[in-house]
Amino acid sequence: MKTSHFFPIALVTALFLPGMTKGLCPSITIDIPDIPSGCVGETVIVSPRLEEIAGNCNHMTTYPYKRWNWVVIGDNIVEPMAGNNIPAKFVTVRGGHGKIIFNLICRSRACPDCNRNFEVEKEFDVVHVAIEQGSLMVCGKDDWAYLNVTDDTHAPDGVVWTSRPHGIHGHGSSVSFRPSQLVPGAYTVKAANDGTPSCPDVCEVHVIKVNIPTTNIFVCAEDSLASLSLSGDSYSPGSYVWSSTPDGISGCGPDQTITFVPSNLPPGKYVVQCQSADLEDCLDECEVNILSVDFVKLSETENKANQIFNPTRKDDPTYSNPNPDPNGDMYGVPRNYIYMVPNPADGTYNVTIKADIQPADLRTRFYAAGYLGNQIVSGSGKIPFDANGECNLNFLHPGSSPSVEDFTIKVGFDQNDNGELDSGDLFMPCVVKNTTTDEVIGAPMVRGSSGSRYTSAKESVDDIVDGDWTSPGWATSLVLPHAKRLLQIFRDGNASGVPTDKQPTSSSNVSFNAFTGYFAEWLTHNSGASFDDSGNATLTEYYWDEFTSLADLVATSPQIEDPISAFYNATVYSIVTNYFAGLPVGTVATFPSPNPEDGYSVTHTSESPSWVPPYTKTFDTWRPNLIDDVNGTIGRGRLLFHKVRYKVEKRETLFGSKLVVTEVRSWGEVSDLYDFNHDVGGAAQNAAILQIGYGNGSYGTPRNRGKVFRDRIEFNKLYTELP
Amino acid sequence: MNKFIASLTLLVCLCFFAHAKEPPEMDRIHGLDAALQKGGLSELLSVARQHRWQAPRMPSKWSVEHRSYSDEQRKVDLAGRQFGRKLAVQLDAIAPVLQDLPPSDELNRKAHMLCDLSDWCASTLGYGNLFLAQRCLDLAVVGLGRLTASLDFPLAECENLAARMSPAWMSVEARARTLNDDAGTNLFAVDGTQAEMEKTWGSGGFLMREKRSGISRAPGQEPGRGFIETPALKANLDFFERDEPSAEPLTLVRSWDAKRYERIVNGLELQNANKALALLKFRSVIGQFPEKISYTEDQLRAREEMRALHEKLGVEANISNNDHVSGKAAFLYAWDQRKDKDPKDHNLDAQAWQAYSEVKTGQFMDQDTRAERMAAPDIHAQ
Repeated sequence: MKTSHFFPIALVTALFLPGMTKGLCPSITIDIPDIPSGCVGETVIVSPRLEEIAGNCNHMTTYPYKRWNWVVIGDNIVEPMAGNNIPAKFVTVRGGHGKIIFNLICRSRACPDCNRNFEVEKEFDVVHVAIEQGSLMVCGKDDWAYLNVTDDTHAPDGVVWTSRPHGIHGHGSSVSFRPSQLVPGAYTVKAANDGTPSCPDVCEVHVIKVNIPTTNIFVCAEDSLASLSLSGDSYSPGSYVWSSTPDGISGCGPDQTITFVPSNLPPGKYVVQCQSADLEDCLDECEVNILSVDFVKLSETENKANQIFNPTRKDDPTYSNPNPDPNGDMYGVPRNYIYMVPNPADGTYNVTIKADIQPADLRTRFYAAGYLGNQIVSGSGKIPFDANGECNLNFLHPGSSPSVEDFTIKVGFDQNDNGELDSGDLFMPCVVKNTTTDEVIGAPMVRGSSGSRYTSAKESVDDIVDGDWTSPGWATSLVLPHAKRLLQIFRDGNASGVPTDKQPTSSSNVSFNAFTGYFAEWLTHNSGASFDDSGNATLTEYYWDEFTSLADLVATSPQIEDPISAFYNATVYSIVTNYFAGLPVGTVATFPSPNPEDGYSVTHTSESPSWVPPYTKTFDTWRPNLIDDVNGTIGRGRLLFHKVRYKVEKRETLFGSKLVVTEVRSWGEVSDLYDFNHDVGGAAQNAAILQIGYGNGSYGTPRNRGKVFRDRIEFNKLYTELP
Repeated sequence: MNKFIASLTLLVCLCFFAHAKEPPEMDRIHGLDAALQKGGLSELLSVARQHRWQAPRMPSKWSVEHRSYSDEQRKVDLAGRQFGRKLAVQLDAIAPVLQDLPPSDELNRKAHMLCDLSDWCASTLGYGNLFLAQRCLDLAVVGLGRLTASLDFPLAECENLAARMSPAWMSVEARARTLNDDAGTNLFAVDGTQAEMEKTWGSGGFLMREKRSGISRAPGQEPGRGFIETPALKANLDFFERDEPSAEPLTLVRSWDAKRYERIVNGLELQNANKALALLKFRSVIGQFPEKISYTEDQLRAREEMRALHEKLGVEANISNNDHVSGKAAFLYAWDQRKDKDPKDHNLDAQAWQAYSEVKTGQFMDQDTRAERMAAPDIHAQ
């Protein structure tokens, strides 16, 4: 490496003119000292040293006349470039290498031959170091970055690079460094001549880093606030700009954390980008997954019709509130519950939950589980949803729990990705809504009756059919002769075991739809028949003709019998008196006509709203429920029609003529859907458990009891007087 | 010639069975079986009569498995049951014949033959015997219904056939003896009433479930009135265990191995028989099967007056305008016109009409055929 550009000894030149001199001319020696290098802008003074040895030419010992001129050669690096005053004084204005030439003119009139011109020169350097980049922003992700000096840099000893803090260093007209290996932040980089003078220049280098430490985050769409942060070593002196695809998450500012409101955003996958405002290419991104679980359906796996939410308009009073609801929202059971019994094959409840899970590609990381309170049911939560958003979930009825339990079905995102639902996961709100009103009803629930409860229900039903001997003093065989036979048909799914006199007189298959069909408004649990997924099933309709004892039971119930006289007195009597006026004693007439099909339609009021086919009647005899045969047989039924015909005779009595009803024929038809409500409790609950267990029949023989059916009872009762 | 060959074959079979030194019951069963396979139901009856062979005892499958006291008895019981199953299959085959034959002497003969077969089956105590007897009678009733509905067929012949519709094996006594036989002990009183029989059955079931659940009755909580609790009952609680309901259709062939004591307890009367008998009575009283009502001029005038009166007073009366009424109404009207009315029969017209309309529409059929049709997958649900 060069250390100097100066010549140590000046060049001395004497102009000698031979033949003209008389004696010795003076001798001139000129020495120019080395000119030290300097930085641009410095003033340089150069004083040549002149040594003159006397001569003897015509009495001239020294030159009487001496005059200096100097000129600097070298790319306009100084100002002024020339002069004649000594010492030469100039200012460096550019870096570079120069040469100053001094010219000494010596004259003498006495010795013209001694006239001489002397010329000496000296080289020197003007040092200049300038970094081309005033400041530099580099991305911490970059592998390489460069700084370099300007073209006019003149560093005779080479350029040395250093930085504070340490990290960028080197020699040469440029320096390279690796931002990815530097701590993000601001660096002051200096470039200097690697000698004297150094004439340094500095620049600011910002190593920018934008780093989102996670590639995925998962937030619940119901959350009102969520945040996303950069790593602590992120650096951008200006600010950060956040944006997302699709739009929704955005912001700008110096904070390394951005907040957003998931509940205001459509669920899905957002690619969020954060970039440095100082260096747009310096950015990072991650996926923000706004997770949502929109409950669609919870159903029994083997019987999809047994489902919530059940959209069917219902006229199904609860046990505690039997008053009809005109809006058709009267359900016999809570609308966020399905009622189940375990699969006899393995003792598990088999449930299928379907949900609209977003983002769709994460569906297989969602799990569903059965919970008792806050305790997950053992064995539950290990089966994920499929890509269609369905999860077939199986869980056991805990052995230690009561025979009927309410299980909450919870859905969660397997955040820790361990293949099951546990406390480390993200549980999602999952609620049953009324699909018409969007009203939230509650969490999806399974009201499960254990296998042992099913067995006890079965035995209790058998007890009733056989004759309930548990109540001292009476037995169902005595007081519920018809009710227990319909229960038997329900239990067995056929009437083959029923005594002939209680058997239906005919039967047929009828189509039924649990959601929209005739009587669907009265079906409490969508089970007890081989329902397909759409709720279609073929039910048996049993028909009891008018000659059966069951027909007689219905015909003589207060609901049928009482209106007969009332109707006669209120409506028919005026016709009768009018008709018989003027007719002789002994006249007989049938009202309204002797035609067997003609009759008055007896006025009845329906207990149900107007949209339910008329006429809903609760059949009972005002006796306690347990000994009320007609109530146990039909309960709340549908009186399809009721007609009556009266035969009247004009008779003579002690008090004059009298109109006597000598025959009344009352006929009509009652129809019902024979099913049960679990929540009523008691015997009805036992029967309902059998019905629920039947599902669609796929559980086989161990669950082959409890089939719902339709019944129609045609009655035709003949009286010899007003009843 | 054919008869000769058939008899020879049967003789060879019988000789073979005798040579095999099997018990006499087994010989008899094999002989009956051969006759059934060879010549069907009539051949079976013929051979049985010829040899004065009673029907083999056919206990229930449960009884064979739980109450057969020796291997030899079990072998005979199983053979009897196997024969019964084959007979049930043969009976299924005759069901369509009874539908297809016109109301004629041939149909009458078939019906009587089935009554004979029914009596023969029931001539031996046995669980399967009772069900086969009922099945035979149920088929015979189809003949009775169809013959009765045909006014061309003599009423007297119908009445002869109808007289066979209430056989002794339907009685409480016969059913109690059969159940006791199957149980291997006397559980049911043979001289009791139907109610007592039901109470015994219900009590046994109750005791069985009580024992199974392990629940002891608290003092003072004795079972209700009429409860029966005998040592025999308590020693035979397994008798009261019941099968789970089997898949439809519930026909005799399909339920041959089932345990259907409840049906025997509750009675083996046939609904079709009741309907056919009602039709017969209707025919004997009315003499015809009316399909319309013929009103007199006076009646028609009175009806018009009645309509006018109701219109005048503004009372809705649904008085019909024409004489075209349903057949059911015509039956009712005719029945209402009968003399010597018995109030107990006031609805007989409806029962008769049902039998008549079913005959006319081809729906008057035996229980098993009806069950098969109901369970058929292509059934047209309404």
